[in-house]
Amino acid sequence: MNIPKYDLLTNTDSTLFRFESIGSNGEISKGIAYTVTKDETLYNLGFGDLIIDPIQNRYIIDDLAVSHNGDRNTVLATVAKSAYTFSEIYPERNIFIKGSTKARTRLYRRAISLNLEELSETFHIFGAMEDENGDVFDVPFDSNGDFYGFIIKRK
Amino acid sequence: MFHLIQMVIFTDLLLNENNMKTLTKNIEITKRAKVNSTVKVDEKLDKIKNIKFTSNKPEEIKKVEFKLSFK
Repeated sequence: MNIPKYDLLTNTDSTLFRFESIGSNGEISKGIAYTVTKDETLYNLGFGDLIIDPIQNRYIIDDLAVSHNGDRNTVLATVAKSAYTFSEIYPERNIFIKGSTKARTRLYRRAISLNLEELSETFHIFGAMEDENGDVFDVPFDSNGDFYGFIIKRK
Repeated sequence: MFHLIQMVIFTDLLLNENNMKTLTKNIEITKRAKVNSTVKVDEKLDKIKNIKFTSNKPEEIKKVEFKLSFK
């Protein structure tokens, strides 16, 4: 992707990534985690501000934080880079993407739409819809679709 | 007159210093975000096992039944 991206650090099994967002509000640590869903071939991509909880000695990814750091496209391109890395190591694992809010899911749809041609060189891209029972199924991606989320599958 | 010259020199130095700071900051940003960014393993991240998400979304998604056909 021809967009500047931040350098990424990852754990040994490439399921957790970390980078520093640098912008108008300073340096903000970001975390990206790939966690398995009920379908063991499908991994959820979650990301947000990485915070250490010193009391409980654990890490929190604040996926509701609004950083206003002025580097949204760089952050999204960096998250996309992690998806390339994750799926290169685990081509059999598909990635599920859903925003923590409806507005963010729409933002991801726009970001996918804008880069669809390039993403499609590496991935099959699907929209995810919810049926009446709350189960989720895949449909072809449409730039105007109102989706529950998105699924990308390495070609 | 001497004081005036001193003040001009001082202001000039101050401006230069600020310009240098801005330049350094810009170089740092350019250095950090780049088209060909790198991915490096940091074994310290292996120690992070239990990550919580503020929205609790991953936990909710873990309950979802996926019926995927990829057609």
